[in-house]
Amino acid sequence: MANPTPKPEQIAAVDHKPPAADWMDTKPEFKPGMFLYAVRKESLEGVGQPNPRDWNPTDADWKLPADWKGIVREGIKERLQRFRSFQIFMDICVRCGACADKCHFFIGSGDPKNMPVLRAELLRSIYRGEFKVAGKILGKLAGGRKLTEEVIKEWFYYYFQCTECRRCSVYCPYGIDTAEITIMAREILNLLGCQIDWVGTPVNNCFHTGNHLGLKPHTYKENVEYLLDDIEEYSGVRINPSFNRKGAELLFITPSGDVFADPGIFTFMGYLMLFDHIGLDYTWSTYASEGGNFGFFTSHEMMKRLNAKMYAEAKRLGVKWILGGECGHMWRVITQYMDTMNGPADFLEVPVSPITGTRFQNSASTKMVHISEFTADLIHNNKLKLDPSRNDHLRVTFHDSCNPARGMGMLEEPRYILNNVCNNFFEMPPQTIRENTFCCGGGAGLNAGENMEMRFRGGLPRMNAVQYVKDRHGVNMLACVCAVDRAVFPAHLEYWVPGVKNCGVTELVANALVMDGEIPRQYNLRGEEVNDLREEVDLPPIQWPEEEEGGEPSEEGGE
Amino acid sequence: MTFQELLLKHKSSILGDWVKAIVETYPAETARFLRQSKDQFANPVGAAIKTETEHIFDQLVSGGAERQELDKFLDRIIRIRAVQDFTPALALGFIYDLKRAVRRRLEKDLKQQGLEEELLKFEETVDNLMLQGFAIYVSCREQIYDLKAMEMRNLYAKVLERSGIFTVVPDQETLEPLSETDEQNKA
Repeated sequence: MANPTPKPEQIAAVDHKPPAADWMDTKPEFKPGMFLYAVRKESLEGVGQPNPRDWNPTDADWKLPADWKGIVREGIKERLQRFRSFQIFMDICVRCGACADKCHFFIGSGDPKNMPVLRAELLRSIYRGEFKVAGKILGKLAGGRKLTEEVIKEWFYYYFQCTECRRCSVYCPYGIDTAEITIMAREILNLLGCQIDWVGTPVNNCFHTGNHLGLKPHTYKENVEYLLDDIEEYSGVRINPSFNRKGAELLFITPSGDVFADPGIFTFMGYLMLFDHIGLDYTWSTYASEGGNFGFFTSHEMMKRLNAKMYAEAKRLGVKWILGGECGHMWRVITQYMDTMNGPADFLEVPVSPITGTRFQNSASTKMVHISEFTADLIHNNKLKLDPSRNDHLRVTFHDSCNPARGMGMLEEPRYILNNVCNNFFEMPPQTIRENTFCCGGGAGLNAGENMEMRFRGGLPRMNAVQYVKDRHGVNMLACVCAVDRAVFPAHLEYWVPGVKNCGVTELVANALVMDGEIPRQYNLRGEEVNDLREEVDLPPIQWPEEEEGGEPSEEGGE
Repeated sequence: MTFQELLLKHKSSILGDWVKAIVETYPAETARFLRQSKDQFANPVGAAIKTETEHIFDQLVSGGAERQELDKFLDRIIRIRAVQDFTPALALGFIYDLKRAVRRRLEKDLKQQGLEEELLKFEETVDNLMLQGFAIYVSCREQIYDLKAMEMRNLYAKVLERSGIFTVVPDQETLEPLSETDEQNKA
């Protein structure tokens, strides 16, 4: 038997370079940590989606329906006819490469199929191969290829590595919105029942209970009550909000993740305190209990079905208009689709702030105002009693969430708020913020637990910019206006930039709010002792009134 | 000329070879991007490779290499490769590429000046660097598993605790022994 030990010259000849192969010949490998789990059968059945079955991406046989090729061809054809943009995006790309290096997943993973141009080419090559004469005859020479099961697997792998953040589209000279190509590809995959669980199950929950987590009305209310207890403990103020109250002036809708997931709950507590502080006549709904819309990551029809509850609930409760919380894709759906999709909301009024009288003309059609627009207006009109020094232990930077930034153009309001509620605010480098912002890596349904390594790749460019402001300005808090960001960042920060935490903008507002009847604010909303946090950044402790009354010797030189 | 002086003289070509070898562990299209894009925010991976290889080289050449400093520099490259599409061997193989680069650039001079012994010593240092890198790689992977657990806990622990489904168990010493009635109920 030959000695299996390689000889030194054989070892020296080991090449670290990957083999050169055309992208069409390179197949994805489904490794743990790098892909998303398949949707469970019951979740598809619950909302009447096609081809529910038990399957696993690591299986050789995906149990595709018998006529899967016909379904895909018909799916593409139908969408080419329905969406003019899709037809144009399939035809006009000249492969200039302007988008190629703009994707956070490409930058972080180094996988060329994450270049937006190549990711789009995964679908475009089938469009050419199946629909265009040149592609049908010349195949690869004309950039076309045949539809095989391997293609479906590749689509599943890569279209669920795109967060639909649209950074690439900012740089396309033709205005191709590559996110829309992902949206179409996912719709087609969905026709085959090839959905991910982290989208499919929330969709089913949302359709039946009103929110992604499947919280029933009493559970939703109970969770809010726990948060009210915490607010009372830390601020001394007992708040009694209303639920499903008919005749309230406003309805408030926010992502359900914030009602129980850490650190989103602190932003949720912030809303409760802010509304109490200004005496807002509003109500929560336990039915329209979700601002987010994972239907958006499924199909246009599903997006519409899930979103309908917002207007329906506003009508049932008889409110004047709707105020919405900090969320990402929720605002893209509202700004870009809701008006024509679920509207016209002619039973609602053009939003006017009951506190300042400001008319939100930008929301005249949707009748929905973003909490940051609302809060910035309150601050601008001096309606909030704020003590920004309460956030002095924080050195804050702001992450523009993709959808509010690129989907609704909201760039200034959160910054205006932050500059008024804290004294130390620092911007990340310009090529990483505002319309150029880097995605968190967890949008569009990618914030599942099983794909953490993949998410870490996507989050790398954002974290790299956070590291920069941490090194340069000692930043220790990353603020944002998106519930998915809030859920994604803790693990990202721990891995890439330890020492930095993340929060919602409204959490910082509430920590700076001087509430009527409050006790000395020795604790922040997280239940952390403010003096401990100050000590960490070498700030002198605050002498709380109680200590002085108790005869404790107060040290000279303290604040 | 001493071995150290030789290393310094050929620093840019050695580093050039080393960076090239690392960049070429990625597919060709990506390697091109990693080499060309100079913006540290647009190309954080390329920037980390370029900056940290130089830091590592300078530390090794200085003679009094600080282990902690080396850890810091290695971490910035390995932390990235630990989540990318590499096998553990490929993720760390780049460290040995430094040996190849040095050998390639200095082989002739070393032979002429009889400094082969020095080369062996240097290669031993690189071997140790690999062990350091191995520890960093493993700690990165362990951290990922910890973070997966942390994320689950943060998501669900609080709500389960509040709804009474999940309880934080007190320390064993503070637990009361079961009473007779409890035992009977249990039976």
